[in-house]
Amino acid sequence: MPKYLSRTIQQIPLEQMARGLARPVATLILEPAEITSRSGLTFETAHDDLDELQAAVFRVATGQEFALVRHRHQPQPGTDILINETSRDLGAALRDALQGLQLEPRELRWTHPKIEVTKLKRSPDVGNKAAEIQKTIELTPKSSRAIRPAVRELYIEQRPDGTYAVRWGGAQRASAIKPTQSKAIEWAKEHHPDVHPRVERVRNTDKGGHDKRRKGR
Amino acid sequence: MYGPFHRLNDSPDNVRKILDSGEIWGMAPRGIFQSDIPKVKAYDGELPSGQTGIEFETEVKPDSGHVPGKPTWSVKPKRAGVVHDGDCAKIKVRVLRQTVID
Repeated sequence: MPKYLSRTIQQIPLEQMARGLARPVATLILEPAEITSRSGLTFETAHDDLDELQAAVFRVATGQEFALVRHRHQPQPGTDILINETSRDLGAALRDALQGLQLEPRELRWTHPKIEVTKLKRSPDVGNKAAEIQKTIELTPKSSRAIRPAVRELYIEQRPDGTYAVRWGGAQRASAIKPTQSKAIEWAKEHHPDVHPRVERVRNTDKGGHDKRRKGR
Repeated sequence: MYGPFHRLNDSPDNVRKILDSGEIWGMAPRGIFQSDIPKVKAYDGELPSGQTGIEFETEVKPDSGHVPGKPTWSVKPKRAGVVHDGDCAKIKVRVLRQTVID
Protein backbone atom coordinates (compact mmCIF):
# COMPACT_ATOMS: atom_id res chain seq x y z
CA MET A 1 0.00 0.00 0.00
CA PRO A 2 1.47 3.39 -0.95
CA LYS A 3 2.31 5.71 1.93
CA TYR A 4 2.09 9.49 1.87
CA LEU A 5 5.24 10.74 3.56
CA SER A 6 4.89 14.44 2.98
CA ARG A 7 3.01 16.77 0.74
CA THR A 8 5.44 16.13 -2.11
CA ILE A 9 6.14 12.38 -2.21
CA GLN A 10 4.37 9.08 -1.71
CA GLN A 11 6.35 5.89 -1.04
CA ILE A 12 5.62 2.84 -3.20
CA PRO A 13 6.56 -0.68 -2.02
CA LEU A 14 9.26 -2.26 -4.21
CA GLU A 15 6.94 -5.04 -5.38
CA GLN A 16 4.53 -2.40 -6.73
CA MET A 17 7.09 -0.34 -8.61
CA ALA A 18 6.38 0.52 -12.24
CA ARG A 19 7.99 -1.53 -15.00
CA GLY A 20 10.94 0.18 -16.66
CA LEU A 21 12.08 2.09 -13.59
CA ALA A 22 15.68 1.14 -14.27
CA ARG A 23 17.62 4.03 -15.81
CA PRO A 24 20.14 5.76 -13.51
CA VAL A 25 20.41 9.48 -14.21
CA ALA A 26 22.19 10.83 -11.14
CA THR A 27 23.86 9.92 -7.87
CA LEU A 28 23.07 11.78 -4.67
CA ILE A 29 25.87 12.50 -2.21
CA LEU A 30 23.53 11.16 0.48
CA GLU A 31 23.49 7.61 1.78
CA PRO A 32 20.13 5.84 2.33
CA ALA A 33 20.12 6.55 6.07
CA GLU A 34 20.51 10.28 5.43
CA ILE A 35 17.72 10.22 2.85
CA THR A 36 15.49 8.42 5.34
CA SER A 37 16.13 11.02 8.02
CA ARG A 38 15.42 13.89 5.65
CA SER A 39 12.49 12.55 3.63
CA GLY A 40 11.00 9.72 5.70
CA LEU A 41 11.49 7.23 2.84
CA THR A 42 12.15 3.71 4.04
CA PHE A 43 14.74 1.61 2.18
CA GLU A 44 14.16 -2.10 1.55
CA THR A 45 16.87 -4.68 0.97
CA ALA A 46 16.77 -6.60 -2.31
CA HIS A 47 19.09 -8.15 -4.91
CA ASP A 48 19.73 -7.68 -8.59
CA ASP A 49 22.23 -9.65 -10.67
CA LEU A 50 25.07 -7.39 -9.55
CA ASP A 51 24.82 -7.35 -5.78
CA GLU A 52 22.67 -6.83 -2.71
CA LEU A 53 21.07 -3.41 -2.70
CA GLN A 54 18.99 -0.99 -0.68
CA ALA A 55 16.15 0.64 -2.59
CA ALA A 56 13.17 2.93 -2.13
CA VAL A 57 10.57 3.92 -4.70
CA PHE A 58 8.48 7.07 -4.54
CA ARG A 59 5.90 8.94 -6.58
CA VAL A 60 5.82 12.70 -6.91
CA ALA A 61 2.85 15.01 -7.38
CA THR A 62 3.10 14.78 -11.19
CA GLY A 63 2.53 11.01 -10.94
CA GLN A 64 6.04 10.04 -12.02
CA GLU A 65 7.81 7.32 -10.07
CA PHE A 66 11.48 7.24 -9.16
CA ALA A 67 13.76 4.72 -7.48
CA LEU A 68 16.68 5.34 -5.14
CA VAL A 69 19.25 2.55 -5.19
CA ARG A 70 22.45 1.90 -3.28
CA HIS A 71 24.38 -1.27 -4.10
CA ARG A 72 26.08 -2.72 -1.06
CA HIS A 73 29.61 -2.92 -2.47
CA GLN A 74 29.58 -0.06 -4.96
CA PRO A 75 32.98 1.63 -5.04
CA GLN A 76 31.64 5.19 -4.89
CA PRO A 77 29.53 6.58 -2.06
CA GLY A 78 26.02 7.89 -2.60
CA THR A 79 22.62 6.75 -3.80
CA ASP A 80 21.52 6.49 -7.43
CA ILE A 81 18.32 8.07 -8.74
CA LEU A 82 16.58 5.90 -11.36
CA ILE A 83 13.93 7.09 -13.77
CA ASN A 84 11.75 5.22 -16.24
CA GLU A 85 13.53 3.95 -19.33
CA THR A 86 10.80 5.50 -21.48
CA SER A 87 11.48 9.03 -20.19
CA ARG A 88 12.69 11.28 -23.01
CA ASP A 89 13.68 14.34 -21.01
CA LEU A 90 16.18 13.09 -18.45
CA GLY A 91 16.74 16.57 -17.02
CA ALA A 92 13.05 17.25 -16.45
CA ALA A 93 12.61 13.87 -14.77
CA LEU A 94 15.57 14.46 -12.48
CA ARG A 95 14.32 17.93 -11.62
CA ASP A 96 10.95 16.47 -10.62
CA ALA A 97 12.67 13.84 -8.47
CA LEU A 98 14.80 16.43 -6.69
CA GLN A 99 11.80 18.65 -6.18
CA GLY A 100 9.85 15.76 -4.68
CA LEU A 101 12.70 14.96 -2.32
CA GLN A 102 13.21 18.67 -1.63
CA LEU A 103 16.88 18.33 -2.50
CA GLU A 104 19.12 20.69 -4.42
CA PRO A 105 21.28 20.02 -7.52
CA ARG A 106 24.35 20.66 -5.38
CA GLU A 107 23.50 17.48 -3.48
CA LEU A 108 24.28 15.41 -6.57
CA ARG A 109 27.71 13.89 -7.00
CA TRP A 110 27.12 12.67 -10.55
CA THR A 111 24.61 13.34 -13.31
CA HIS A 112 24.08 11.63 -16.65
CA PRO A 113 26.08 13.44 -19.36
CA LYS A 114 22.86 14.29 -21.26
CA ILE A 115 21.64 16.39 -18.32
CA GLU A 116 22.53 20.04 -17.99
CA VAL A 117 22.86 20.66 -14.27
CA THR A 118 22.21 24.38 -14.69
CA LYS A 119 18.72 23.53 -15.97
CA LEU A 120 17.81 21.55 -12.87
CA LYS A 121 16.71 24.62 -10.96
CA ARG A 122 13.02 24.62 -10.21
CA SER A 123 10.99 26.70 -12.63
CA PRO A 124 7.83 28.55 -11.53
CA ASP A 125 5.79 26.62 -14.09
CA VAL A 126 6.89 23.30 -12.66
CA GLY A 127 6.05 24.48 -9.17
CA ASN A 128 2.62 25.67 -10.22
CA LYS A 129 1.88 22.43 -12.05
CA ALA A 130 2.96 20.37 -9.06
CA ALA A 131 0.83 22.53 -6.78
CA GLU A 132 -2.21 22.00 -9.01
CA ILE A 133 -1.72 18.25 -9.06
CA GLN A 134 -1.09 18.22 -5.33
CA LYS A 135 -4.39 20.02 -4.83
CA THR A 136 -6.10 17.29 -6.85
CA ILE A 137 -4.51 14.65 -4.64
CA GLU A 138 -5.65 16.50 -1.54
CA LEU A 139 -9.23 16.54 -2.86
CA THR A 140 -9.17 12.74 -3.21
CA PRO A 141 -11.27 11.22 -0.42
CA LYS A 142 -9.01 10.27 2.46
CA SER A 143 -10.63 6.85 2.62
CA SER A 144 -8.91 5.98 -0.68
CA ARG A 145 -5.49 6.97 0.58
CA ALA A 146 -3.17 5.46 3.13
CA ILE A 147 -2.12 8.40 5.23
CA ARG A 148 1.01 8.33 7.30
CA PRO A 149 1.69 11.28 9.57
CA ALA A 150 4.20 13.71 8.09
CA VAL A 151 7.62 13.02 9.51
CA ARG A 152 9.03 16.39 8.58
CA GLU A 153 8.71 19.57 10.53
CA LEU A 154 8.19 23.08 9.31
CA TYR A 155 10.28 25.77 10.95
CA ILE A 156 9.83 29.52 11.10
CA GLU A 157 13.09 31.27 11.82
CA GLN A 158 14.31 34.83 11.87
CA ARG A 159 16.93 35.63 9.22
CA PRO A 160 19.91 37.94 9.74
CA ASP A 161 18.14 40.69 7.79
CA GLY A 162 15.15 40.58 10.15
CA THR A 163 12.78 38.77 7.79
CA TYR A 164 11.33 35.35 8.56
CA ALA A 165 11.94 32.12 6.67
CA VAL A 166 9.54 29.18 6.49
CA ARG A 167 11.70 26.11 5.99
CA TRP A 168 11.21 22.34 6.11
CA GLY A 169 13.54 20.53 8.48
CA GLY A 170 16.64 19.44 6.58
CA ALA A 171 15.95 21.79 3.65
CA GLN A 172 18.67 24.22 2.69
CA ARG A 173 16.35 26.74 1.08
CA ALA A 174 13.33 28.47 2.53
CA SER A 175 9.89 27.65 1.17
CA ALA A 176 8.87 31.26 1.80
CA ILE A 177 10.34 34.45 3.24
CA LYS A 178 8.01 36.94 4.94
CA PRO A 179 8.64 40.35 6.47
CA THR A 180 7.16 39.47 9.87
CA GLN A 181 6.81 36.39 12.03
CA SER A 182 3.02 36.61 11.97
CA LYS A 183 3.04 36.78 8.16
CA ALA A 184 5.28 33.70 8.07
CA ILE A 185 2.95 31.81 10.42
CA GLU A 186 -0.02 32.91 8.32
CA TRP A 187 1.70 31.66 5.15
CA ALA A 188 2.56 28.32 6.77
CA LYS A 189 -1.00 27.81 8.00
CA GLU A 190 -2.43 28.71 4.60
CA HIS A 191 -0.11 26.43 2.60
CA HIS A 192 0.32 23.61 5.10
CA PRO A 193 -2.83 23.63 7.24
CA ASP A 194 -2.19 20.16 8.65
CA VAL A 195 1.31 20.99 9.91
CA HIS A 196 2.04 22.85 13.12
CA PRO A 197 5.10 24.99 12.40
CA ARG A 198 7.88 25.20 14.95
CA VAL A 199 8.42 28.89 15.61
CA GLU A 200 11.77 30.23 16.75
CA ARG A 201 11.61 32.47 19.79
CA VAL A 202 12.93 35.87 18.87
CA ARG A 203 12.87 37.27 22.39
CA ASN A 204 14.77 35.87 25.33
CA THR A 205 12.29 35.23 28.14
CA ASP A 206 12.31 33.16 31.30
CA LYS A 207 10.78 30.35 29.20
CA GLY A 208 13.66 29.99 26.77
CA GLY A 209 15.96 31.66 24.24
CA HIS A 210 16.20 31.62 20.46
CA ASP A 211 16.91 27.92 20.26
CA LYS A 212 13.72 27.05 22.13
CA ARG A 213 10.86 26.75 19.69
CA ARG A 214 7.16 26.96 20.34
CA LYS A 215 4.31 25.49 18.32
CA GLY A 216 2.57 27.84 15.91
CA ARG A 217 -0.91 28.81 17.01
CA MET B 1 40.65 -4.18 -23.60
CA TYR B 2 38.38 -2.67 -20.90
CA GLY B 3 38.61 -3.68 -17.29
CA PRO B 4 39.21 -5.15 -14.88
CA PHE B 5 35.61 -5.41 -13.70
CA HIS B 6 34.02 -7.65 -11.10
CA ARG B 7 30.66 -9.05 -10.00
CA LEU B 8 29.64 -10.40 -6.60
CA ASN B 9 26.30 -12.08 -7.04
CA ASP B 10 26.87 -14.92 -9.51
CA SER B 11 25.93 -18.41 -8.40
CA PRO B 12 28.40 -21.32 -8.81
CA ASP B 13 26.31 -22.52 -11.79
CA ASN B 14 26.52 -19.10 -13.42
CA VAL B 15 30.27 -18.94 -12.91
CA ARG B 16 30.70 -22.38 -14.49
CA LYS B 17 28.69 -21.19 -17.52
CA ILE B 18 30.79 -18.02 -17.74
CA LEU B 19 34.01 -20.02 -17.61
CA ASP B 20 32.75 -22.50 -20.23
CA SER B 21 31.36 -19.94 -22.66
CA GLY B 22 33.60 -16.94 -22.14
CA GLU B 23 30.44 -14.85 -21.95
CA ILE B 24 28.76 -12.94 -19.15
CA TRP B 25 24.98 -12.59 -19.24
CA GLY B 26 22.69 -9.96 -17.91
CA MET B 27 19.03 -10.72 -17.51
CA ALA B 28 16.27 -8.15 -17.78
CA PRO B 29 15.34 -7.81 -14.10
CA ARG B 30 12.28 -9.68 -12.87
CA GLY B 31 10.21 -8.77 -9.85
CA ILE B 32 11.63 -5.43 -8.86
CA PHE B 33 13.33 -3.14 -11.39
CA GLN B 34 11.51 -4.85 -14.24
CA SER B 35 12.88 -3.73 -17.56
CA ASP B 36 12.57 -4.55 -21.23
CA ILE B 37 16.24 -3.73 -21.77
CA PRO B 38 18.56 -6.51 -20.63
CA LYS B 39 21.97 -5.34 -19.53
CA VAL B 40 25.14 -6.81 -18.12
CA LYS B 41 26.13 -5.07 -14.88
CA ALA B 42 29.46 -5.01 -13.09
CA TYR B 43 31.59 -3.03 -10.70
CA ASP B 44 34.75 -1.28 -11.84
CA GLY B 45 38.07 -2.60 -10.63
CA GLU B 46 39.59 -5.79 -9.38
CA LEU B 47 37.67 -8.24 -7.23
CA PRO B 48 38.35 -7.03 -3.68
CA SER B 49 40.36 -9.45 -1.59
CA GLY B 50 38.20 -11.63 0.61
CA GLN B 51 35.11 -11.19 -1.61
CA THR B 52 33.37 -14.03 -3.40
CA GLY B 53 32.91 -13.18 -7.05
CA ILE B 54 34.35 -13.06 -10.51
CA GLU B 55 36.84 -10.64 -12.12
CA PHE B 56 36.98 -10.13 -15.88
CA GLU B 57 37.98 -7.89 -18.76
CA THR B 58 36.32 -7.40 -22.13
CA GLU B 59 36.87 -5.85 -25.53
CA VAL B 60 33.37 -4.35 -25.43
CA LYS B 61 33.22 -0.77 -24.28
CA PRO B 62 30.76 -0.12 -21.42
CA ASP B 63 27.64 1.99 -22.10
CA SER B 64 28.29 5.69 -22.28
CA GLY B 65 26.74 7.61 -19.40
CA HIS B 66 26.80 4.77 -16.89
CA VAL B 67 27.05 5.48 -13.16
CA PRO B 68 30.74 5.93 -12.24
CA GLY B 69 32.04 2.66 -10.81
CA LYS B 70 29.08 0.65 -12.10
CA PRO B 71 29.52 -0.03 -15.84
CA THR B 72 26.74 -1.63 -17.88
CA TRP B 73 26.43 -3.17 -21.34
CA SER B 74 22.86 -2.71 -22.61
CA VAL B 75 21.24 -4.22 -25.69
CA LYS B 76 19.66 -0.83 -26.51
CA PRO B 77 20.86 1.04 -28.42
CA LYS B 78 22.02 -1.90 -30.49
CA ARG B 79 25.78 -2.08 -30.95
CA ALA B 80 28.53 -4.49 -31.82
CA GLY B 81 29.70 -6.75 -29.03
CA VAL B 82 26.51 -6.72 -26.98
CA VAL B 83 24.36 -9.64 -28.05
CA HIS B 84 20.60 -9.66 -27.39
CA ASP B 85 19.65 -13.31 -26.89
CA GLY B 86 16.05 -13.78 -25.75
CA ASP B 87 15.78 -11.87 -22.50
CA CYS B 88 19.56 -11.77 -21.99
CA ALA B 89 22.38 -9.40 -22.85
CA LYS B 90 25.70 -11.14 -23.48
CA ILE B 91 29.25 -9.90 -23.86
CA LYS B 92 32.44 -11.82 -24.49
CA VAL B 93 34.83 -11.64 -21.56
CA ARG B 94 38.12 -12.99 -20.37
CA VAL B 95 37.86 -14.20 -16.79
CA LEU B 96 40.87 -13.04 -14.79
CA ARG B 97 39.96 -14.55 -11.43
CA GLN B 98 37.03 -16.09 -9.63
CA THR B 99 36.49 -17.16 -6.03
CA VAL B 100 33.03 -18.69 -6.33
CA ILE B 101 33.96 -22.28 -7.20
CA ASP B 102 37.02 -24.38 -6.45
